[in-house]
Amino acid sequence: MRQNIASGFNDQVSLVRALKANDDAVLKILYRDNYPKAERYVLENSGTEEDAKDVFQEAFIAAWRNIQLDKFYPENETALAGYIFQIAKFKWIDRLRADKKNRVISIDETIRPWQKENEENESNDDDFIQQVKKSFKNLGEVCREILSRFYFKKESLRTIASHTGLTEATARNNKYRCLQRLREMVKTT
Amino acid sequence: MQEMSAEEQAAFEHRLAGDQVLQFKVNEMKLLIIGINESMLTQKLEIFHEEVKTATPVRSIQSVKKYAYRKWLAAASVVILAGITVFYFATKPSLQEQLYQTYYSADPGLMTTMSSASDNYTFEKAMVDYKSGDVWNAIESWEQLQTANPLNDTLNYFLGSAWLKLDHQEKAIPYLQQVANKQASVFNADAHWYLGLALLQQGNRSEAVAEIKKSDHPQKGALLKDISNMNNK
Repeated sequence: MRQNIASGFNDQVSLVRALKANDDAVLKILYRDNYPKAERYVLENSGTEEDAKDVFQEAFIAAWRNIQLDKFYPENETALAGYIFQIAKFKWIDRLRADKKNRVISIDETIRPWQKENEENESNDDDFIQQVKKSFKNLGEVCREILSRFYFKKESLRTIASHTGLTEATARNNKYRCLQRLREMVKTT
Repeated sequence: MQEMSAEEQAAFEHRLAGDQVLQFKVNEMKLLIIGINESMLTQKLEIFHEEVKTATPVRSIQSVKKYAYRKWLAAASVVILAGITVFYFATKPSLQEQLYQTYYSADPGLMTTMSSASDNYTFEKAMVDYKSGDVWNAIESWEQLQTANPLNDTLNYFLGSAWLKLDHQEKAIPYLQQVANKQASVFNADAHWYLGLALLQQGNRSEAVAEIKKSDHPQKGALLKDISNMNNK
């Protein structure tokens, strides 16, 4: 039987810390161990592998985002795996609903684990984040490199400087300028 | 927040509670970072998915439990393997690589007058950066200009030259190809030369030869002869 990633951590703090640090190995195992169940569910409910991939990745990102924002604090690996699966399932049901030709099995609709109170604010925040993602794609390669190293890989400015051939002070300035540019691009779109 | 002491954090949170402008700024910053990270995570998920679909061997329960230990072992293995690989390639570069190193000499760049016209100023400031070795900054500035003028041969040529200077031949190639396809460009012949070298370094000999033949570089004949000798080995 396969086991989820969190089994490797003795406590909830380590798991959340690894996810907040975007630990590559943890994210990978989390994906690998939980995707098959979501795929089975989608395939058994009129979907394709491509649909399964879409909803699972959306669910994965939604779960990741809520952990980053301290909106969800998984107690253990089962809770985390269940959370991702629930999101994927509801997302797939919502898609089927949108397509009137399909009929869906009846389930309890009252729970949307990733959506809670303040839905209007959350929707505004989500719009803003989507805009950031679009603008980030159009940012220059150098800026994308610096910002992703600093914020996603959590590299220090010294490490970034050594990889890019800049001084630490220039790396700091560039990081600031790149973030400002991204902010301006989001505002003007 | 994580870099603050408990006292600083408490003081900051107190200030935050009573300052709506600060609340807005903190929230905006948080969402910007989430957006950057989600962009990167999206790319990662595509890679993970490929791995799932190509049936990556499943890690056992025990090995997962020893994850933290295994992680260091894996990291050490990667470092050792990378070391061996680097050592191997450092001591025995491919023939293409040897030729590339022999014949590549960075484009010296253009004379600059630092005109006050804004686009020219940005271009020329970047040219100063390029010539003084601050190539990342040059690329950053030229990329911005190139986004607005994607067909500009001068920008494409120097973006290609800058990536070559940083040893990123794969990134230089698309820019140089644009200039090589533009016969009227004053950089056309040079673009053929550098494109040929970049393709050679990447192991694409036949296309490299075709490009080098179209250049007018003084060492063109010698390089073509060396490639021909290499093909016969």
